This record gives sequence, C-alpha cells and structure tokens, in this order.
Amino acid sequence: MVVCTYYNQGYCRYGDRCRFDHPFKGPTAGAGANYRAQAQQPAAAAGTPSSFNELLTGIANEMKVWENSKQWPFSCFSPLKGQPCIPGLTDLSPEEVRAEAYKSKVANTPDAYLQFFNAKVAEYRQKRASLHNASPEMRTYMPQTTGSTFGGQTPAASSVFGSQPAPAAAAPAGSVFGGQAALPGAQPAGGGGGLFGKGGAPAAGAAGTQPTAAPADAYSEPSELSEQDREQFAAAEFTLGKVPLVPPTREMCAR
Amino acid sequence: MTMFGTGGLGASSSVFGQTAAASTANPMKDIEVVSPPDDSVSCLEFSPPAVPQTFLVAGSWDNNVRCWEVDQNSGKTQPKAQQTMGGPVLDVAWADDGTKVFMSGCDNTVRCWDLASNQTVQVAQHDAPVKTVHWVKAPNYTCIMTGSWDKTLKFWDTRSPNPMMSIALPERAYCADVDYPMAVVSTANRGIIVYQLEGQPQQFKTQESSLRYQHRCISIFRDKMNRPTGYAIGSVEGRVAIQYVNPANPKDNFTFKCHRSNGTNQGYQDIFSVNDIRFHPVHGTLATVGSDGRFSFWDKDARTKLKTSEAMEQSITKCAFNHTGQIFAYAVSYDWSKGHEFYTPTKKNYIFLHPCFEELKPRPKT
Repeated sequence: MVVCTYYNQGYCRYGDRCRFDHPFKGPTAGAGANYRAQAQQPAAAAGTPSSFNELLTGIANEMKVWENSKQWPFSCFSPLKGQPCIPGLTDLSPEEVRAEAYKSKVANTPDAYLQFFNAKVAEYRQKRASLHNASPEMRTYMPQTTGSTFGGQTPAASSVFGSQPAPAAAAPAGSVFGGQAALPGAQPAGGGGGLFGKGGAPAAGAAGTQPTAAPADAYSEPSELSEQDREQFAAAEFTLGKVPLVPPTREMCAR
Repeated sequence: MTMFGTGGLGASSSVFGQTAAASTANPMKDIEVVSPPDDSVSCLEFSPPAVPQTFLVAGSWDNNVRCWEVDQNSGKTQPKAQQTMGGPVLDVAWADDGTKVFMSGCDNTVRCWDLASNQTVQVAQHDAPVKTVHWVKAPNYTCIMTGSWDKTLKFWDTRSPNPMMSIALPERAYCADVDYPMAVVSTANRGIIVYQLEGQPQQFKTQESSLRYQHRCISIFRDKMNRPTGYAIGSVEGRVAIQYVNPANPKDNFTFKCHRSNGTNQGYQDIFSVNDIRFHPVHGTLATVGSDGRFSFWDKDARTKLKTSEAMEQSITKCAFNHTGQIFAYAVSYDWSKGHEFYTPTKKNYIFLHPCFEELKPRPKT
C-alpha cells in the first residue's frame, strides 16, 4: 500500500477514509486525521530499506502532485519538514523571473528571456521526473549499516539529477533522508567500511572535497578492479547500476 | 467605536457609506482605490499611527510608488503623489513618524521619499535587486534594514552612504519582517534567520522550516503580552507555517493548507502560492492572500479559518492592514505565478479596501 504523504506530514484531511496507507505510529499517533494535530516526523529510523522505500514513494507521489497541480515549478524541495532541501533543486522566485523578463524588455532582447525561461521549465521538469522515477538502482544504493557504497572519487555531486552520478549525489541527500545517525554522507569520515573499502579515507561524501592525503591503503591495486570498474572510472560519469564498489587506483587519481 | 457607523457585518457597501456594485472584478463589493498602478502591485503599506490621516502607499512593476489619502469614514481615496524609481519597485516602508517612505527595487537601490517636500534621495545600494526594506526604530538608533538578492542583509543610517552593518545571508533574501526587537529574514532554499535588534542588530538564530517548498512571505506575530514571539511563513505550495522562535512545546508549531482548489483536475487540487500574510494589529488574527485570487482570514490560536473571499479575476499579490485594524487593503494584479504567457498588460490592476474589524475577531474558544 502506498503510504500517504500528507499523513506523514502530520495531517491528512481524509483521515480514516483516506485511500492511502496511514501506518500506525505508536502512542504518539492518533493525530492523523486531525487538522489541528502537530506535525510529526516519520518515526521510521533512517537506513532501514522499508522506510527509504516509503520515502521514495512519497517523493514520487509529491512530484506527480506538483506536476499536476499548477504549483510554481521553480521551487526547492525538501521531503521532510525541518530537513535541508534536496540538492540540485534550487529556488527561483516569480519576482526574479519577472525581473528577467522586464530586463530583456528594456534591453530589447525578448529572446534572451524566452530562452532563459524555457530552459528553466525544462530543467525543473527533468529534475522532478528524476525524483519521480527514483530508479530501482538507487534503492540498492540505500545507506546500509556499514555506510555508503558510493565508490570513486568523483567530486560528490551537488545534484541528484542525471548529470551527476546519482549514488554519489545521494550522499548529501542522505542527510535529508532521516536526519539520524548512520547516514551515508556522514560515514566516510568515520572510516566506516564502504566508501574506500578499507580504512578511513578523509570524507569525500557530502562535501564534495577531494581527499588530499589519503592513507596508502585507500586506493585499490590495479588487479583488484574488474573490467567494468575500469570502464566506469575511465568514463566521464558513472552509470547507475554499475558504480564501482572499490576505490580507484592511485594512478587514476594522480593529477 | 467602529469608524464606519452601523453597517451590517461584512456588508462593505453600507459600512463604507457608499454602494459598490458587485462585479466579476470586484466580487466582494469592496471600495476600489482610484488611479491604480499601471502594472502589478509589488508592495502595499498604510501610514503609521503617528500620522492622523490615513495614507496608503503602493509600489508597482511600472517603476512607480503611488500615495493615496484614504478617508476613514467613507473609504474614498484620493491620489496624492507619485515617485519613480529606476526599475520595478519591490518593497516600500514607512518611517515611524510618517514623514518618509522608503522604496526599494530592481535598480539595486533604496530611495527615501520625503513626503513634505516630495523629493527623493538615494539612501542605500546593493549589488542586486533589493527585495525587502524595513524601518527599524530602536531606543538608541534608527535605521533601515534592506535584504537583497545579492545575499546580503544591510542596515543603513540613512544619513551615510555606507551601511552601518552588512550581514551575509546563506542565500538570496526573499522576504522579511521587523517588529522591534525582533527581525526575521527568509531566504531562497527555505532559509530562516531570526535577528535580535536590541543594542545593535545581530543574528539570533537560524531555524528550520516546517514548509517544504519555496518561501514567499513572512510576518511576525506577538504573544498575549504583546511581545514579538514568532512568525508565519507562506509558501508556493498553498501552505502556511506558524513557527515560534522559542516554542514552549513543539506542538506549538504547526502548518495548515490554504489557497487550494477542489480536486477537480483528475483528483489533483490546484495548488496556489500564498503571496502575502499579515496579522491584524488589534486582534492578532491573520490574513493570507494567494495566487488563486482569494483572501482568507484565520485564527491561529483557535486553528480555524474565519472567512474566505470570492475569487478575484487575477491573483492577489499583496495586502495590508491600517494601524487601527479597520481596513484591509488587497491588490489584485498578476503575480507571474504562471510565467509570462498569462501576463496581460492591458488588464486593469486593482487595490480594494475591505472593512474587516468584525470579520477578524478571534473565534471564542469552546
């Protein structure tokens, strides 16, 4: 059953009549159908696959509502109250768009504005679509207890969308989904398993900084990489579903 | 006690002493302000209590700021004066003594309009359009606070060309409000920063937003002891958040949905932006205006809606209460919420005056 996004936010106007799922939340619940209720954070702990799935489903639903509701398209988005926005979707206010239009009118370059506007429409539509179609691969890159499986030393993307490798980009988003401990983005600094396979590499996750002085065992030996891994590291971008799970070799990182 | 004689509740025509005909442009039969701006209204403010008469000032995308005198008994308006900026006007603010009006806009400047001499002078400058301007009156200083899309918040003693203080913001300033000693600024990407103005302006704390989409408007409210204690934020997603700076109980903060249509489009509601929020100066209840062309009155303590208006022909961009809380002014003009394709420059822009003292009385608690 699809979880009701409004119930998750603490208020669903349909209450018990709602066609979507209102999961039981324990003693603090019972406010689901009440307009006056205080909004509560979903009680599910971060990092558990089912809660992440629910979140993804909730987000997909929201994107659909957004597209169909004639809501202002150029807005940031946060899946949960009190959490940071999803990186890559940034605010553009109606006044800013209008100011551009008036500027090009004065400068007599109406095409400049049209180009700008249409590019934005396409950009935000594409981003909403990628959030809507959170692919199954993204779900396998769920934060596991041992930390992230995000390979490679690509600068952690600030965008979850298409043009950057999505799993690496999910690292900053990890702080969005849950806000509790055990976040993928937070793991690397703690030297937890995943990111570089062995030992604590400096955190490259959320902040996107390159590790400057990685310990010797942070790199793989060339023999440890599979053909696919080599291809991936050589490519301009990672392909979802084929992201290497081991770090690159030292040679690959050399500049 | 009421300024408008013995008119019936909500019957704006008799209350104002003259009958306005209901039309699709004026479904609430409110008083129409004469000589409205030629383009969308971006800001609307009544004169402060220091001035015995009632003046209304509106800034517009036609680069002008207009001033009308409003007769409190009849609601009749008379254009008084007008000034022009170098670009569309984004915000206006009155000095507390009612002698000056500050205007900020897309030409990256703020100008001070001395009403007596009808002269303007530039008093502030940013690197990008100045989205907000507010007057700050502290016991030991006065200044204006300006927020800009250049990601700075600056405080200016208007006698000096340089700011007395400049604070970096995490993102572009979108909306702000000042109620001494508190100021709050909301930025792009849902930033909220609260400032403490006593002594000198300083950042007090940043807060998380209960809203999940772009912020559009913000307004400070007071507690029972008449001290600023929290703020209401409106977003583009037809939702308002009531947040306290120091909530006694986490349940004190809440959000509510507003400015949405019925789910007639395959079950999807139309979701409209909340363009402005204002608190009634006497009752403490609030008004919201939206892209759907409606205004609504709410009681945040009883958590109920008091009234929703009929739909105007265009969105309502701004609203304002006069200082006695008798008049609710709202501007009907296009807010660009659907881009340039829905902009009709020839369509008339309206500012309506609605008698509101009775309608905004809080719901008695049961």
